[in-house]
Amino acid sequence: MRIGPAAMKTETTVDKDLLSANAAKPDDQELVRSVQGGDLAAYDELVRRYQVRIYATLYHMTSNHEDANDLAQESFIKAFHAIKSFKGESSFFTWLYRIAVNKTINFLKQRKNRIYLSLNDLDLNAENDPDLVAFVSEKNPRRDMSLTELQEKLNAAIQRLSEDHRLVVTLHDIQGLSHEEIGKIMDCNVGTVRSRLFYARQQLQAFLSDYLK
Amino acid sequence: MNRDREEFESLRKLLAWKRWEQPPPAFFRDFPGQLRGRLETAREVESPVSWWQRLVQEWELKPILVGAYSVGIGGLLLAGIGLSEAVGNRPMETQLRDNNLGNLALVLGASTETDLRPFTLSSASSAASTLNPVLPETPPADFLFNGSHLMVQPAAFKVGH
Repeated sequence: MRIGPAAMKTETTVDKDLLSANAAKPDDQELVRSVQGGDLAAYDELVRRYQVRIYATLYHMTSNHEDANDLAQESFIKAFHAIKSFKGESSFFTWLYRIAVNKTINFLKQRKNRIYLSLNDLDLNAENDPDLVAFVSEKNPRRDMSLTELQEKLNAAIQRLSEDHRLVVTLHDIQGLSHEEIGKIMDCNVGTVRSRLFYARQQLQAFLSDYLK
Repeated sequence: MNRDREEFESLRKLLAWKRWEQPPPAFFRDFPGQLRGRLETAREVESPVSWWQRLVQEWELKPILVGAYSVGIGGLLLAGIGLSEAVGNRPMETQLRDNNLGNLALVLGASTETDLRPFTLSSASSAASTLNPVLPETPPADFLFNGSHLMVQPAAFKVGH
């Protein structure tokens, strides 16, 4: 699963370095059982495991750091209060994602037409990304356009999509989840996910046509 | 068709670029702590701790303070007991004088030396007063129910005449 290069790098390093230690770490189910028994420390561990992915999804959905932070906290709090009703029919990760996504879609519906971008800074390593360097130098019609301006254009275009289409693009094209995983999270079949993704990409290509030619 | 594919590829790269957007460096380090704080606050609101429980929790962390409080309260208690015993052993007159009750007796026309003393039947006869409604040991000669001076009129009823 892809998240952010920096986070991904960190997770990969951690996975390699602590491979043996990870084997002894409790899995999600064990941690969930501990939390159901009132163990707050076990919930801390679950939060550490999923905070990066949850935050990233909410950030890409809102294009606003503060909103993403609030929504991520509220999602984790809601999950904590509802964890006694978690029966383990799906993975904890899918269940948590569903809570966060529903909360965010409700928030976005209330926030409609009051979009305020509060973008995170680009990771310093972005300048070393060959794909990005090539894109900026070849595709950008205005070579003097800064990375920040391009970032704003991209986020503004994503915000013009409907909540469902934005979510599909976020989960698939940015975070790298499979169609099946997205179907479980959005509670719809794979065909619906594919068609939404196709339509969302068409929309984005139209919004960003000046930068893609 | 090729152009569409090329544009799609460009879009994919552009979207992948969003992964470089990162929150402030300490964000993920602080996030679990902030969340923990909110969860604990929510717990307290759901099941508020009584003042007594809060006091006990507070004291559990400060044994020296608890010891000092205990010694202080114990000392006060002992001093109180000692004082009450010392006051209880003194004569009534001294107590009354100390408590300014003697002034009250003067206002009522009584002598603090005699009238406010604890009564006995022998002392009551010599110090009869409205403040000391105690009967003397022998009733006075003109006492209402004294047998020798009591005049009794016999009464009889005859039926038919």
